[in-house]
Amino acid sequence: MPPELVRQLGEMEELVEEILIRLPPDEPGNLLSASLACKPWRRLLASRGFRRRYRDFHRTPPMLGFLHSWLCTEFVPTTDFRPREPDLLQSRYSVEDCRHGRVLLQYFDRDANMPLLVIWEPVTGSQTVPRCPEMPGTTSAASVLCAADGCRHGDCHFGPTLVVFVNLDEEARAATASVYSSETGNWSSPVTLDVGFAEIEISFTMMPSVLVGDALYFPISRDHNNGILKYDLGESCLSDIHLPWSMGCPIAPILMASDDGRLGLADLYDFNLSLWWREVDPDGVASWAQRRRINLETILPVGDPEVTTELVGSIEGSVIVFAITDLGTYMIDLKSLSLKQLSSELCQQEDITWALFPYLSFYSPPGSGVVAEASHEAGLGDGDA
Amino acid sequence: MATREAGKKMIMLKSPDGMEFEVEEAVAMESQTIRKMIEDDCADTAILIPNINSKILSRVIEYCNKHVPTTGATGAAASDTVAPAALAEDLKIWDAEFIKVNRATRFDLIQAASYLNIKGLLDLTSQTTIDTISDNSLEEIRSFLSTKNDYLPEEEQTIRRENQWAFQ
Repeated sequence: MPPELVRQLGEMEELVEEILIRLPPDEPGNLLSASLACKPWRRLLASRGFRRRYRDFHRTPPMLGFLHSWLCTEFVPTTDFRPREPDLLQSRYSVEDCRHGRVLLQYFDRDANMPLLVIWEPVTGSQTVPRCPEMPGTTSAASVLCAADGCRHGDCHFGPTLVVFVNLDEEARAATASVYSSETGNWSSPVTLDVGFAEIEISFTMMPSVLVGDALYFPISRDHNNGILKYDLGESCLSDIHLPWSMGCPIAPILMASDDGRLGLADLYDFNLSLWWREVDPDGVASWAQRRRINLETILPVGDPEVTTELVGSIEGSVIVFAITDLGTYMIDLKSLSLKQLSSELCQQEDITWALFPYLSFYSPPGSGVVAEASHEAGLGDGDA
Repeated sequence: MATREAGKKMIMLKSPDGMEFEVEEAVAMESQTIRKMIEDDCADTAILIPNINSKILSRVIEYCNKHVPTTGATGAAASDTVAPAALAEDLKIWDAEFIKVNRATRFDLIQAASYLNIKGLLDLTSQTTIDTISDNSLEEIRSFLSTKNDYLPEEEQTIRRENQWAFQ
């Protein structure tokens, strides 16, 4: 190359940023390669300023993979990204929830004879183990979320985290909830709700909770009928939400969260998907409205029509659901009715109920600092670019 | 110098190597930087565009001519009779031809698009560069962007070892 054509682009940081900001979010390997081109690039890519602009440019974080609770817990990649997993992830842990780049795992510590929660951030590999709340109960569910006000998420791994833990106690006929804050390291005083279920069975279903606005919604099963338990983070209170009467007795509905802040409910029966949204009228009264019925028969691939198809999860802030047939696991966009197969190994089998937890996050290459500890320091960067 | 020709307001752009380009004001205003100068009444005489030589400036003007709304280089690119989708497809094909330039010219175009604040041209030039490096190895990225590798071999090895997934 003639000398006059040589451009030391590495020195023109602004232009480098213009170029690198366009690296596709669903190709984390290229982001990492770019950070290895030279140290100024690594500093740039790991800086808070670049990460913020990258997130603003691409808006929606990519799905880097998903976790599932099918026989064992596993991170299944959907891009080239591979996380550093907690030791014995598959054999020791069960997945409780996944949101805002954080995965909530649970395992039973036999030595201490108590369950432990682990907040795992696949992009950075970091793990936090909050002490479990001491609450009475026979069945529990837990959710994880970013605690920062006004956060747009997608890249908030280093921010504060909340864990909401809900217990159902059949004897006391009560649901109890407590919230862990990573900032204080403490659990809040428990709040309870009388759920009045004498002589009936009540439990959380396997399906994931959803975050809508300032509230978490947990799907529950009450004497084989489905319902929803709501935990309001702002008001710190629990409440009960009934499913629409006209829905009948859905077998395994999943919860959804629309991009405009509505709670949704989807049920799949014989390839017929029913979609409901919870509408709030001007007087603040909430009610269910059935919006769509979608026949998935021509969309979902099946081998044996006798094997039931099921919904196993959704992506919050979208109309994307996950469904399983005897041929595999599929991601379906209910708006465009487009379909993508995620796995042929994870499929519908009798007597196994499982859920799928999508992992959506922007990838941040390891920041500078001690290179040997690069992956521990990922994304901290050298301040704003 | 601002002049009028065939009812259209014209404006003069000057490159540092002394070339002058008379262009329609609407075309020049595809550049947000020039738009601001015109709107702030700083553009009564010819506008000197620093750091952008005549070769690159003429390419930039060619791009703006094609992309200015309502009239293009042919004078009829965006007539009411052309469907928006067909027009967009036409522009896409034109862009793909336009960006078939060597690496040095492309970097000059990125720099010019950045300085003149022409979003479409910046998107086109940067995205083409990313498309090129996305399919290449780390060594090719370094070579393509003329970046000096300042990692010690052991530093690079450590990062590669800890992130093997990205280098398989």
